[in-house]
Amino acid sequence: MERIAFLLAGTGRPVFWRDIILCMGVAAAVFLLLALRLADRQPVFPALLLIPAAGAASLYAGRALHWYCCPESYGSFRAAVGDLAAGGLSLIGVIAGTLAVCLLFRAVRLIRDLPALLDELAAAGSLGIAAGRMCELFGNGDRGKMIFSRAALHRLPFAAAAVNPVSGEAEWRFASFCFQSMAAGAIFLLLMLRRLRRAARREEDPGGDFWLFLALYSLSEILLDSTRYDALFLRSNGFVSLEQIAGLAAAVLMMAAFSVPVLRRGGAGRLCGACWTLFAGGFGLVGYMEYYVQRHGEAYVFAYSLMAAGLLSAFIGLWTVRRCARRLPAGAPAEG
Amino acid sequence: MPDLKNRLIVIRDALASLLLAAALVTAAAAVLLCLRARALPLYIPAGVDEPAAVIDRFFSALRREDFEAAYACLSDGASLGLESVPEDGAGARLWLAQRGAWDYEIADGYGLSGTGLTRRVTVTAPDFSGAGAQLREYVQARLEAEMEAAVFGSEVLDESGGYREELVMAALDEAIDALAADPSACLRRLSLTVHLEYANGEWKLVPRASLITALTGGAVRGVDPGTPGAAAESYGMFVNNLVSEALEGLVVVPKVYWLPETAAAAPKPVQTAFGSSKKAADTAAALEQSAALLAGKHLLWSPDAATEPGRTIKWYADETIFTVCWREKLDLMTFNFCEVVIGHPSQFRRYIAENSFQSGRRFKPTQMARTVNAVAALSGDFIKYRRLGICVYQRALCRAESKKLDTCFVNAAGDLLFVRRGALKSEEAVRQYIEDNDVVFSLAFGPIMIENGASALPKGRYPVGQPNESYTRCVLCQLEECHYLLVTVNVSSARATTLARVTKVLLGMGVPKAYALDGGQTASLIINNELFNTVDFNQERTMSDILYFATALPEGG
Repeated sequence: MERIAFLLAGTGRPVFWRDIILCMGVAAAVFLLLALRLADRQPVFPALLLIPAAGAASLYAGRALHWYCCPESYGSFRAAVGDLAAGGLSLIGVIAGTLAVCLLFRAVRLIRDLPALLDELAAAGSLGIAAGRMCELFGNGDRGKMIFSRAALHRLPFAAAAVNPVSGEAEWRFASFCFQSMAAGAIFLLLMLRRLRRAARREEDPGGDFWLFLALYSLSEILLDSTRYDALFLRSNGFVSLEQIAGLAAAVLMMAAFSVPVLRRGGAGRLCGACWTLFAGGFGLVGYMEYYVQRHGEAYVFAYSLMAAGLLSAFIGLWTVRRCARRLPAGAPAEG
Repeated sequence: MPDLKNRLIVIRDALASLLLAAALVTAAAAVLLCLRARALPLYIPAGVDEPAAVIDRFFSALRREDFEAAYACLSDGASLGLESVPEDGAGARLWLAQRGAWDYEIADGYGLSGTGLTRRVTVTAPDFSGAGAQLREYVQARLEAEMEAAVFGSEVLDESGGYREELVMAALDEAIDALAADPSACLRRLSLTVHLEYANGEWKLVPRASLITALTGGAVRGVDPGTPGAAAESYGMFVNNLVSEALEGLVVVPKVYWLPETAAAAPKPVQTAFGSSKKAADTAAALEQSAALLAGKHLLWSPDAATEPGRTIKWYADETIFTVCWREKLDLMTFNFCEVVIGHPSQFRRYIAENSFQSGRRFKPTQMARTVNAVAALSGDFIKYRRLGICVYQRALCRAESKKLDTCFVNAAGDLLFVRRGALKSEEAVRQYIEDNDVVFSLAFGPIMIENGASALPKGRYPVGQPNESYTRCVLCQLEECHYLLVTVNVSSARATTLARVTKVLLGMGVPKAYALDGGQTASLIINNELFNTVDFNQERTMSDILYFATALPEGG
């Protein structure tokens, strides 16, 4: 795989395409965060402090989680966090590190409007992920288990070459990273459209963009991470990956968070009941299709299509409950 | 004041727009660069020539036989082992002749590979692989001259009428000396891609097996740098076989073939040596061809075997390996067998995906078998699925969890050594065991099924493999030295395929050692890169590792 972009004059030190693209993704996210801060009339100074703090926290959290899942890749935990240049990062850890810093900033009152910040970070993060994920084109990672023999598919977005380090042969594998990038890009566009619509209608939905990002990103990753041949797994099991578990956990927590106000204000109505059924049923289908695709690897089109349908069902259930909760005035009984 | 406030608002909005535009442009540029990067040439500023200078320093140091200076140009301080000399006299002389004749030429232009650069280099070195005929001619001429000069035939011939061995070997020594003195007729130019990487502030050559192959004129293959003495040992094998060829019919010098322990892949098997048929009797020719290899072995397979009717039998036979796969119904269960006899224990190998315990990637067993050029392969213990068990790979201890699973160690003699769970109480004990027993790799699944010809199934609960349920089984057996049996048993509705039942059948066949591996959909028996057994759900499952048996015959004969 081609990786060096150019050599620096004088030292001859190489600069890699992967690092360039990753830096551009981070830069795009930072620019957008600051732009939205300004557009939302929020104080910029805390964001300027947040960027390096969240940057450091997310790197270390991402590395720590990667070490936990792949301890054999490092000599020790100390070695793993001591040299960030060598080794991998877990994006779940990166997101968790960023959120932790946001909560810390809120706790010490450096940030007063946390929902607004999270909304801005959601848009910035999705743009950064969309651009940054493409850096995997220059490696062997973030590709799928499916190998395509048809030459017509030997190009993006369908497949990317992965060089076998033993035989030296190139295998054209499903370009999981490209689909992850496109999914993040679609989430970014959706969030920006929501912003424009809210601005036009003079509506407010504090935290709404963040929840939407979390829901869509988590659910899309459940499917896309399943395609990968180098997914991260927890130490206790090698069946479902870390991203899938985190996605499921995020979705369940969100459903719980959205359902609590509904239940408190008068109990579950028929609509909410249907939504919970859609949610549970959707995840039931997803779980079965994950088992199915692991047993019937060649039937991936069928399996992932049904998995996508299950995830869509879960999303519809989840988002409808949120809308129900939002529409309830305080103290009013639940709809349906 | 309102004026200032308005201006600030305008500036703020303008800045927001600018940053938004910068964000979108940066993201779009990143994506576009990805799509166009391959079309962009590598930019190397004028005056930066360090990568090529390293190559020049390396090869010119080799020409001077200044190995210290040469190895200083290699990344991770590796040695190619070129300074060691084979123990055998003939090997040593040719080796030194090899070293004295090195030359090189660096081509223009860099390429890209992995995280580094590449450059084409043409290496000139003697290739003695075709020198067998030349040596034989010299020896024959020398012996004929001796014959003519002799007064009595018994001075030159022995009781059987052949030339006396000491005369033959003396003539050979002269022939080797003549060849070593002037190897010009054997010089060969070999084009090689040299890899460079940037580490610790400087460019270094990446030591690879192909470098050693080029410098030895193709005599040494698959020897990974960094293993002391491996290149010289491998060269010694090459010269032994060259001498064997040269002295054929005069003196018997058995050919020796083995594989370097650290070789990532084996030589490709000879495709014409594979065979298949629905009739067991058709394996008779392959058995006869492998008679020397099979001498003294008690095969389970015979051309009269009662295999499953209509089912294809597959086999492979060359000088260094014989393997035959067949299917049989035993005790209402369908057994897939692969019997393997190898000439040298180094042909019994293990492969973890990407040849690294650190790799988290998964591949189909047939893909891994193809990568390493396996003749026959069996799915392994799926070592990366769970963090249990002891893992030794290429003599290095990768994991030392010794409480939960029985371990099957494999030593340099190719013998299976069983150790029960909990027997090795600490990492130090594991390391000591590895050292004391010359362990090369290990398997961590189990349980141990048969040991010393008797059932060794555990009495209590076993944490993996569902031993008491009906489940597709995968078993590794050792019958004798360098003689193995690979087994898969399909899950059956007619008879519960518990480990106990499978053990009983194997005991009835006289198997003295057997160890269970990961079954279920994972169980895959492979020959010539194709599945032999029917896997569960009719589809291979990706996993992390295989065991395999390879030919030791160098590619090309």
